[in-house]
Amino acid sequence: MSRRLRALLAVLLTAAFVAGGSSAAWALWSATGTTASSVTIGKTGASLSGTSDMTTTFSSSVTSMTKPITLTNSGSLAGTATTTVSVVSGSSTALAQAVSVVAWPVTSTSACAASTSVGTGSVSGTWASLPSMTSKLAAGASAVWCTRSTPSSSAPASTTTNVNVNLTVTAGTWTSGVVQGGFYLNTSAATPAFTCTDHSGTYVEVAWPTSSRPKDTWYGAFVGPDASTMVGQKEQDYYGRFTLAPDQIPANIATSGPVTVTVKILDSAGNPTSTVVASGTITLFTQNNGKAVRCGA
Amino acid sequence: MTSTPRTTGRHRAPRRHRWIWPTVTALVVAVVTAMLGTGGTYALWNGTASTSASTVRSATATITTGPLSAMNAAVLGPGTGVTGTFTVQNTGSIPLSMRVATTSTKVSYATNSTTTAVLGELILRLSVVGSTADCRTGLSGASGRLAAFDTGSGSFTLAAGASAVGCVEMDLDADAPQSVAGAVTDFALTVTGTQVSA
Repeated sequence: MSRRLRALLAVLLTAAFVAGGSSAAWALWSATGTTASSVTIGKTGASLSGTSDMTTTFSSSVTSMTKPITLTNSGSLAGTATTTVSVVSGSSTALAQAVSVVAWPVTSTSACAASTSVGTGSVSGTWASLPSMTSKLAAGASAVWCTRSTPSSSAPASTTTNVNVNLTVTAGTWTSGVVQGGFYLNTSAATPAFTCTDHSGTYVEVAWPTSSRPKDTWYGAFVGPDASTMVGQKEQDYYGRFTLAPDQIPANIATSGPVTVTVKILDSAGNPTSTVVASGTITLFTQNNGKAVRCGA
Repeated sequence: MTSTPRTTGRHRAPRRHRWIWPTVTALVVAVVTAMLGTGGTYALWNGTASTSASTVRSATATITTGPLSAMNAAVLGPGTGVTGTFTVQNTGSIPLSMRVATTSTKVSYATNSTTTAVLGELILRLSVVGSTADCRTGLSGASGRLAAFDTGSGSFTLAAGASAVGCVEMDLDADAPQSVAGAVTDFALTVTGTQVSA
């Protein structure tokens, strides 16, 4: 090491020590605190009720069925409930296709009755193909849909179909999985048609088929929803027919057009039984500026 | 008797460490000079005066962190978030530069998933708001996966005595798999205030 280099080194070391020794300490003060919490990831879930009460046998006396279905979001996430319907393999698709359905949301199951009018937001189709009964549901919330099923005149007699209602609740990309509820729809044996005789629009005579029942069996003619309103006088097999004038059809049932008349056996108290012996159609119309009635549709 | 003159010289002393002495001397002189430079003038004439009594205190760096409000009143779904707030106050006497970082996590009830998978779907966002009522989802601020969340130093600055409301948002990824449903995640955030450097 040359003398010049050593001298330079001495100067540099001196400068470094002096400069370094005169500087301030460089530690920074700090303080800490901790805070904590917790988050929960939700779940999806779905449940369905009411379908088991929808099993029905349609007949000439049971011409429609009105029942509620309750869709429940049983998960902890808000979501959208959607439904599909399907016919169980082996049962009658033809019958499911022949039963028309209209469904609408109601506030509670008690708001769903045969007398309830179809509300807003309704969907309609058949039990073979019904648009989704869609509801947005908060976690744990339920939606009630009122369904009204009406078999068409072409519905096959003595037939059964098994229908499933499938519910899914969706939250974002998550789904609950499909929940099913099923019921059966049946049709009774074909009801014999009554024999109808016109009397110039003034009245019609409706006669039911003869049978081996006692002659003093009482019969009644019924109209309206589920054939629940009796019209005319009750009669026995001795007479074997009803006489129906236009004024005997209540205005709340119909004032014009076709009216289905169902003949039922009455019990000893005069109330209708479930036994239907005949059914058919009469039509109200206007003749000479007055009410009139005739046989057929 | 005659002597024979020496034909060879004595061995010369080694010169290997002779540079040390000048160096040491120079250092001593420099240090003494520097020390003298920091002292008085050593003038013989002096005058004195007294000031009123005063106290010199050292500065303090302390913070107080409030609890993070409950964030599990609502649950997380895919693409949704929940919020919570905490307060932090600079209770010291110097301004502090704040840093917030996750220091612990614990996942429970992940019956169909793993802890790693659950933490991999959670994003934490932090922003400073004027009041707890201002805290809502969608605010801008520092963000990161919960397990690795760290604002770094200088997230925000608190003057001495000042306080701030931290708005914590936890989001679940919109594409989170359903296997993480039901999981509960506990987490702790550590707030560090460091003296603002001059």
